[in-house]
Amino acid sequence: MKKWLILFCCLLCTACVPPEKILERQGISTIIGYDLLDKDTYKGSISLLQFDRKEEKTSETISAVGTTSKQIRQRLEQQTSHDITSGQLRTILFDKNISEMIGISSFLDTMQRDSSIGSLIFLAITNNTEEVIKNNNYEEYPEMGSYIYQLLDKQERKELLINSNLHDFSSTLYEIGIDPTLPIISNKNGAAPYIEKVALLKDDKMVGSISLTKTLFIKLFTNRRASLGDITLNIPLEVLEKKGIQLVEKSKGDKFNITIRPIKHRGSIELSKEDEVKLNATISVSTIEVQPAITLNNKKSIKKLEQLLGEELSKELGDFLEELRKLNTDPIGIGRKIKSIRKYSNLSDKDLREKYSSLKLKSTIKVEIKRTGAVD
Amino acid sequence: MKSNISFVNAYIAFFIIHTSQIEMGILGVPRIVFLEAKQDAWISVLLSGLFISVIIWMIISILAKYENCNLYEIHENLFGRFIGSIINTFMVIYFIAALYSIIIAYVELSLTWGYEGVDEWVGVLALLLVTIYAVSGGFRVIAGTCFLSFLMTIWLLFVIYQPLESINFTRILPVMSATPTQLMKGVFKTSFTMLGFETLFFIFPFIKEKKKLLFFSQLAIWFTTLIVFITTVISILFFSPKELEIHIWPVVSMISAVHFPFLERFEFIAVPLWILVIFPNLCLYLFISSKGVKQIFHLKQKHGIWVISIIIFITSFFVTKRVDNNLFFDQVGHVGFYLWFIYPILLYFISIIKSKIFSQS
Amino acid sequence: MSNTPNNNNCPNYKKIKYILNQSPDLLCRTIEVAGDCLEIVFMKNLIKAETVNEYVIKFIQQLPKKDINYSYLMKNIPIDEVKIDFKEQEIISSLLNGFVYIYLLKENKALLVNCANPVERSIEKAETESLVYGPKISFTESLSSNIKIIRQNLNNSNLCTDELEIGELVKKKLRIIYIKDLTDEDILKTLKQKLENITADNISDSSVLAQCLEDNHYSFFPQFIMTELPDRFLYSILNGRVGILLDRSPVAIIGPANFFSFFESTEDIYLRWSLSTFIRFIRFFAMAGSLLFTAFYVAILTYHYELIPSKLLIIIGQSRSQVPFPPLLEAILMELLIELLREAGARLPSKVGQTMGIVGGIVIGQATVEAGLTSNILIIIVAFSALGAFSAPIYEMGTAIRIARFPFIILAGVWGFNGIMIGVCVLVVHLLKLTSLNRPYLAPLYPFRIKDLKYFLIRLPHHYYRKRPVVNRPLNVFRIGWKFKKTENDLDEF
Repeated sequence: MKKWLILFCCLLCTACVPPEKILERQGISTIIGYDLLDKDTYKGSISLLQFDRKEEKTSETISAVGTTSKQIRQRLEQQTSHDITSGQLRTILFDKNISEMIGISSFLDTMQRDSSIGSLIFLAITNNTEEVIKNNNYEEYPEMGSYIYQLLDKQERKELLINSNLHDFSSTLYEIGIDPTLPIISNKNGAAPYIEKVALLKDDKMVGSISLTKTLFIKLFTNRRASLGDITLNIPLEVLEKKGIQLVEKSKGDKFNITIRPIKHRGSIELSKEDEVKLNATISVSTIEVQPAITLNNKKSIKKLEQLLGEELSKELGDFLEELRKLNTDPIGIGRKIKSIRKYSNLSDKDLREKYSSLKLKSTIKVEIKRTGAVD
Repeated sequence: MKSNISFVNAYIAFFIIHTSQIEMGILGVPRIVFLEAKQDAWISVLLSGLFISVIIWMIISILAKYENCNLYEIHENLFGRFIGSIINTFMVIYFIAALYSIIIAYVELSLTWGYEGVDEWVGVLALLLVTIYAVSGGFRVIAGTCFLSFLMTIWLLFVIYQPLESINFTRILPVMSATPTQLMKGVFKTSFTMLGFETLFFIFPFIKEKKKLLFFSQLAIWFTTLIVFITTVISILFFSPKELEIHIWPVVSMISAVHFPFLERFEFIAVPLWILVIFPNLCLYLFISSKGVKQIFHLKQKHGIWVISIIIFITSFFVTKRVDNNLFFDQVGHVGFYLWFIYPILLYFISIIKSKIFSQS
Repeated sequence: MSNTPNNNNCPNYKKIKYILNQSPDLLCRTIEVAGDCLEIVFMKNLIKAETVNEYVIKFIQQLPKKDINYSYLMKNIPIDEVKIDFKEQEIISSLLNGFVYIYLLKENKALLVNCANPVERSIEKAETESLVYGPKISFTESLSSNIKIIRQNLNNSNLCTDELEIGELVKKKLRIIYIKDLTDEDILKTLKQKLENITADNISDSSVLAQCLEDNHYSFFPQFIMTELPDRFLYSILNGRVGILLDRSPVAIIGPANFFSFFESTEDIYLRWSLSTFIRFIRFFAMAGSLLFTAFYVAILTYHYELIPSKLLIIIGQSRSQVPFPPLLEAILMELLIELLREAGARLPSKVGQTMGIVGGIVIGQATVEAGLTSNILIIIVAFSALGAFSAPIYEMGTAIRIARFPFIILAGVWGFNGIMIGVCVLVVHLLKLTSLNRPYLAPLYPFRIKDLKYFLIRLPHHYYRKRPVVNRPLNVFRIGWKFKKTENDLDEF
């Protein structure tokens, strides 16, 4: 009797199969883009994977217009025989208009609510998302979604980009005292899309952009494990002479060009006085290109060079900070640092921003040359 | 009557208590405590660990007075058969409710993560059948499931190293900004998660070396506290405050940042794996409640588990909505708090007084 | 020996013939000497003719008259095994076992002498459990030669070989083999109790006996180790287990078994520790993979496509795109196909078997993929699981895993990973519930014996094995007394 009961229960259970999601019946989207059409109406484009072995094409792009992302999804669904799913979604693109005028946060709710969207997907800004997705140049990757994912992933791992996945974005967006950044992807006819710049956001709206090399200064203070990427400095020869560094060979131009590769870095933000913030950083580097050559075999000349590089970088950082303050955005997280001090822990977002614009910022970067390559 | 009890070694108590503490609660605890104590939530966790440590000591000293008795028998002993039975009935109802709350919480989680569209009762039925199979094997098998489920799931702790890459230490600062009331509220909320040590009341007769029990149960609750502490701290460092406030299961959302070269989206593995984590809990609660039914109604435990399972199965048709569940969890948590944090203290003094009266007369 | 045994009611030839249903095999040679008459009765095909001729008939004929009497014969007949004290029933069974019945009519007394000539094959290499290293001798069907092998390898006075008889219609001899001061009494008692409880007309093989002795008859998992390797048998006996040898069966039974002992091979002891530890882990991994890999495939393709890494996604998607079946059906079909190939290969003569493997493996595999009936990823997975199941050192464990795979595949197809995890829960509880001779099956994992893990999970250098594993509760724990000499020289000395 009992055994029959158990058997019956088992059968009952197995009869209630959850809705299947068999791989080849899914319209798997790897990339989705939103363009602003009108106020409140968006155009969404997705690239769906095609699994047909005989056909050359591995993906298909479809687009639809709607007011919310799920409405767009519904309308996209009408255009295909597959179920559109976002479990393999890797990248979400927004066009510049959305990011400048509407703001991105309205799209974030659905991404966090939908458990099928992971938190490691990348967000990026581009001029026209539909065109990016429709672009047929994606190096050796099977389709655009994986290409852009690889592109962003490589840049994040290697250099030049601040983490821009969904988790990093939303956690910096919602946190008081720090503003997110997003990569800007540029798309030209006949070439694969590439990362052009990094957008600076204030809250969830784009206010400006910086070049990729500048992200160095953000990473210096926000992420100790990030790779900073090579730094190239062009210093007028006069400055070099003033410092007393001697050239070994005759220079061809009037600039001293040096490329250094950071090995380790450590940055700290300190509130030293009531309204003065010190940004100190130390970078150990190895020199990988020096033009024209200088002597790097004695302590004195190295010290001089270190000083020179430090000063140059500090100056650049100072300029960079001023630029940020002009845009009233704080991707470095100075506000967050201030808020972590007990006295200021109750400051609201608005108060912090006011304080940020009135702060005195002092920046010093120390460079330490650890290696000089195979020659000195 | 006691002769054919299967005994287990004292160290097994560590696994039993630890696994019965870790269940669905730990997935949501960072948020719940954070809502009360903000970035000082971790202090609340440690405080509640301390609190439980004291209570464990009390429980052991109560139990030591009544050799080889579980709580049901102690009640009958202390208050007489009639009043004892009333209290026991109440406890059995609590355990059934706790059992249901774990099952439905898990089913809810797994429905959110990939199984939308399934009726709740299917999951409940499946879990119940497995539990019945385990419990019908007796205490030795239940202790075994506790031990093995610990071994099979403890490695999940190491998965957290990946979220560690994107944590930010400034989020926990400034330390000690929460008021004592906030902290105490945090302790109160943490205690819901830390419940489970009450199984000690019922496994006591099965333990071989009773002297070592105090050590192992303290070890267990401190280990649990450590794990809850780690997850709380990492969640605070990982999420921005606003995000932490909206995620129902912050730990699962955090695990979604884990991926391996051969596997994306680790949370889709972690959620099914969580069956193994809750499985010992289900077994223990079913075992304890059916034991209570046996004590009160003199019904065979074999039949007791079926009766309780049917009750739970029927409930699963009615209490299923997120809001209802939340209310239900809160109620179970509240009752659990008074039952296992306040009541043992009371019981401790009653037993002392009673033994004094007896020794005088 | 001086007192004459009480066997006055000895039957004569006619009576025996009657009892044996007029069997044409039963012969009688009557010798008349000095007025006395001797009947020499035997079964024709069961005795060794030379022995009977030389040492029974010729011996009696050459005796002087006065010596032809019961007491002289009993003492002097030149045959090693002589029975003098027996009942009527025993005469018949002895005759059927190749004894010769010598009946002295006048004295009405008789004796039985052993001239048996059992059918035996020579001792050969083990086939089902093949080894690279170590002794390769295997048990045969003959109980006496098996006992001979064991005695020769374990020449200890404490080696007990208790004899029992089992079966009603076909009586078979059975030996319980253990070492007296080592094996736990409880285990022996349980085993003997269980053996007494068996009433069967015929136990056709030791594997049948093992199944009768099991605690849980419904389980997929074998609860006794079946081996044809004497060295494995001895290794187990020396670790405090009990062995059973059944006559007419080349496979010995060892109990109590635990789950992990099915993954150890004697080769592990002979090989270097590092290699054998590595191999053991491979075996565990192969087993787990064999059990779960196909189920994972089904679960991922049916419910959890999110898990597939992006690089694999298109490969898997393309290989699945033409397949008309859902993954569950596809997987079950392929698994059945592999089982079919294995079964056909096992039934065919060995030369054809190889061709069968090639035809099945390459042609069918290739063709199904080409025809788009299955994805090539699945072929790889199914082949892996088949290989994994065969890596079990004990054949029965491999078969258990092969069968247990199917419920997992179905659960995966029905509920995805949740189904698999529920399956794992059931499996774990089931293993916890199992016992072998009342000893827990999952020992030394549960109950946890950390010192025994070096026996069952890994191998260490031999000087770590000074004690026997405690899971079998050996009475004498001490094993090897060999001091490991550490070098006391400093680095620059030698």
